[in-house]
Amino acid sequence: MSINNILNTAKLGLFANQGALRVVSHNVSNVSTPGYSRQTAVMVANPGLQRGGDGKSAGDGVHIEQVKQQLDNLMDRRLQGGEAELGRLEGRDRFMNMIENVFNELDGDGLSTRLEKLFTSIDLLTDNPTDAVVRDQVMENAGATSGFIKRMYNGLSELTLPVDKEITVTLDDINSRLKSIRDVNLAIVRQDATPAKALDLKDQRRQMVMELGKIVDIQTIDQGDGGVSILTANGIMLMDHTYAATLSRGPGSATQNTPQTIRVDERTGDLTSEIKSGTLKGLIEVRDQVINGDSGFLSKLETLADEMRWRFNRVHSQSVPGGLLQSRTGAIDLGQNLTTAMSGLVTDTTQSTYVGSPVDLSRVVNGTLSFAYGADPNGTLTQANVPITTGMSINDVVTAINANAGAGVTASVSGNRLVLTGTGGNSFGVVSDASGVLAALGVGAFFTGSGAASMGVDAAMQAKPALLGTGRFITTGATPVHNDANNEGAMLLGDLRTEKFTLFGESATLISHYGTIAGNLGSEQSRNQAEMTSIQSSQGFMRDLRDSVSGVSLEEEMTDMIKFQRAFQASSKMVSTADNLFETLIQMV
Amino acid sequence: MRVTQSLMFRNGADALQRKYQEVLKTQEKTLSGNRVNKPSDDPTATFRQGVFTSNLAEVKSLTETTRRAQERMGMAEDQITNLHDRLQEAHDLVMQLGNSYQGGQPDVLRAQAEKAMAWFQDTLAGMNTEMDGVPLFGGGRTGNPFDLTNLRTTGIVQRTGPTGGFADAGADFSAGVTGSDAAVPSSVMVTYRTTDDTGAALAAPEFRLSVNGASLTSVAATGGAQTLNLGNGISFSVAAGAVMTDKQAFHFQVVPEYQGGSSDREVKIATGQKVPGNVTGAQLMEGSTDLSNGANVFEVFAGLRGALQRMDPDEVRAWLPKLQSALGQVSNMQGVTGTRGAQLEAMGATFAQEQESLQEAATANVGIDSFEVMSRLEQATQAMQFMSVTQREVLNTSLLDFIK
Repeated sequence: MSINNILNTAKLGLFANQGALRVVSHNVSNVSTPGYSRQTAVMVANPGLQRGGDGKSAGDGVHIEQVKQQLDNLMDRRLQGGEAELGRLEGRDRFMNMIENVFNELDGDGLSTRLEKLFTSIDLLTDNPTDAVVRDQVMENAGATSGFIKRMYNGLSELTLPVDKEITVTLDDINSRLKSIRDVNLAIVRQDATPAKALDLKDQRRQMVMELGKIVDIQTIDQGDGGVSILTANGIMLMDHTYAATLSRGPGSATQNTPQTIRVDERTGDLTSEIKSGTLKGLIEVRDQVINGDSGFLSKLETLADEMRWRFNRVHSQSVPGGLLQSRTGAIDLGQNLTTAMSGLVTDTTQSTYVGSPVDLSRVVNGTLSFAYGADPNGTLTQANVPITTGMSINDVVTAINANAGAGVTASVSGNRLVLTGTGGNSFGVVSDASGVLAALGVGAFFTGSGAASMGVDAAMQAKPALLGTGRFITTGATPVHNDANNEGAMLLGDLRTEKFTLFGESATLISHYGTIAGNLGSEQSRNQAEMTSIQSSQGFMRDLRDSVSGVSLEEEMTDMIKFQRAFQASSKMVSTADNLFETLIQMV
Repeated sequence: MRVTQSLMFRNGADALQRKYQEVLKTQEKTLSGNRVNKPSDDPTATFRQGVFTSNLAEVKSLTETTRRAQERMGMAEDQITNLHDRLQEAHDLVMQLGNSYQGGQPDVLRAQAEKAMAWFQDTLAGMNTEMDGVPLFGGGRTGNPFDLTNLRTTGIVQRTGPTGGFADAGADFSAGVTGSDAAVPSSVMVTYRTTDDTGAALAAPEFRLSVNGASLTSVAATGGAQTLNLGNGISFSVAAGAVMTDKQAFHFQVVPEYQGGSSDREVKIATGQKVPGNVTGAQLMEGSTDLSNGANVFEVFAGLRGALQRMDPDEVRAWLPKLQSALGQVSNMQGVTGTRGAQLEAMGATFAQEQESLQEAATANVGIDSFEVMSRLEQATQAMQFMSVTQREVLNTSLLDFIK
């Protein structure tokens, strides 16, 4: 063994420890880098050459065989899966907070508060139906209630637009991320083909994939050359070596009133239902399930508003104001189909075949419509009964009224509204309407419109609160009797506060139904938050576990630094010792 | 498990963030005074709050409407009490003047007729009393229940003798009135005579007519169907074949007819439960219910006034049964109104209790427990301070300080 060997071995020691110190330095530098996996230098002793036949040999120093990342791939995958679900819940949470605000009653300024005010003023009207001030109050509160329902509807439907817009922005974000990952992926493949492995690029890619996975649920497949492919959870390719998919919006169905689709590379088909988690899924759920859709809160509000309008109109159309009327015009447009049987009309406003028929015609049943009329409202009145069937068209209803009550009440269509007029100077009122046709056609309507978006109070009644129906005919005698201060109509309107009816499979009052909707929304948001907290907690735990394997501990690096520094110093000492040996030898010469 | 700087820092930061959120929640609660500020805070409490609020609003509303109805009942009760007092006075007057002693003092009787007229007018005004623009006794109509443009004649009665009481005259006699009569109330007495006051036979039977004590020109009796014009649109008709005896006197009055509604507005006391409103003018003055005696109070005042104007103590005394009947009727109505008023008062008290209970329940449902909130706040802020100190210490443990 020569002194040169000693020097060479020491030199290798110097190099190896210097390399290890460089790894330590790299770790320390990246202590705060998100997704960074600490690296360790793997040192391997160089085997010495066997000299002589005695088998005795010394090693030839050390070298760094590889710099290895401290990674647990399984943990990384689990972390990525959790991120997708967390993304979905976070996506929902932001918008659900806004939706919750629309339905929030707890600040004492919501729909139920307005409804209560309306009912309270109606109750006051039962005490004195002729009180003009209270009538005005009823009108004011009815306007406030319908206006608030409209605002709620707008508040919810206007949320759909930003959610949908955000879906588009998110798709653009996904596209740019896919391209970035593809570029990094290509660099990794190229570098991995060389002896120097692309450790840091892999970290970068891992972090980028993790962030993408939070936006949309993906799966990655190792390609064996250092590269990965990215697919949707359902196996649609999003990125490969040189390919990055482009997600875009496709046209929705105008006839079915569906939103724009999500396309891959502008191919036909819709990716929307393929997306199972991630922020994008959260946004889709908010748009299609939380706000819209059969069980969406917009639909629930719509259902509630429809029921409220119908019930109020049903009562009010059978009530009489302080005096009998000479004429009454329906508040609801009759639509473009006056000749088809009411049972055959399309009254669903979401259908493409809807042509504006009054939406409540679907609730009309076979029954008798009765009028009372006479020259003197306080005198003897005559009752006329008009049989109504659902097989009748709107024009047939007009004909039936003229045929059966024509002596006292004439029906006509003017301005596409049903108009009832007292015949020959007669005044008239509605005694009863078992069919509900008047409520459906808006004659004596309290609320107007065809849904929450268009809900309002009958304009004629608002302009002239005296038209508010507060009484009912007394029908105990042979002929109907009209008392201008009769409060039965107001009483029945007030009873709507506590009247139970079935909606969403539950029998409850109007306000209870609304409370249930608000409660359901609260439950959904509460569940969302609980799940989010739970996932955040489990993700935190997973991150802790990942950190415990891959994270950088400064203390650990400091001790390593000292260790390698001392080893470096020791190797340096070996060099100076070998130098001394050379010096001794030289001096011997 | 390896522990790293980022792990320690992140855990500390997350814990601090959670505490901040807790403090924010607490602040929200203290600012609103409510434990639940949005549906997701407590969905069940949110639903219950809706129900409580609705019930509370309903009870408040019912409290208000029953209070107003109670006021109306109270006012009506006052009017009925006044009416009862007037009838009682009339009763006392009949007891005082309805005897033969007063026969020698006709002026006293005529003077008291003015009092009867005052009772009539006072009663008419009382029956048309309004509250909030609606007559108390209008029974569902806003027009005056009684006025002098809508008159009726009461049933025709006959005196069985000069000192006898009243009895139904039968179907052979009828009366009518058209238009209005400025002299309302009118008290009509038609006397069939075949002899004069001395008992001498008349040349032909006649009808002696008296309206409000004033004698009109006698009309000859034809013996057949006959209608007598008593002026002011008042007529008296005798059917053909009617049997009459000398000095048989027929009496009827012209009084305002009830023109209000059949029943007053009902008062809602709970869902589906209503109590009747005020008694109507028809029930009170014309005895149109089972609880009434069928007495027409205006008729009593009108008839008594007529009897006093005719200065006939026997006729005055003859009104006693009808007067007692009217008194009983008004007493019944007073009782009915009192009972309904008491019922409303009781309901009001129940509502007040219910309101208190619901208010308590609503407050307990979402209200904050100040002590709990303050405890939590204290706990959170202390924990945060402690965590901040700990964080600093934890993150300061570094070998760097020892490496030279």
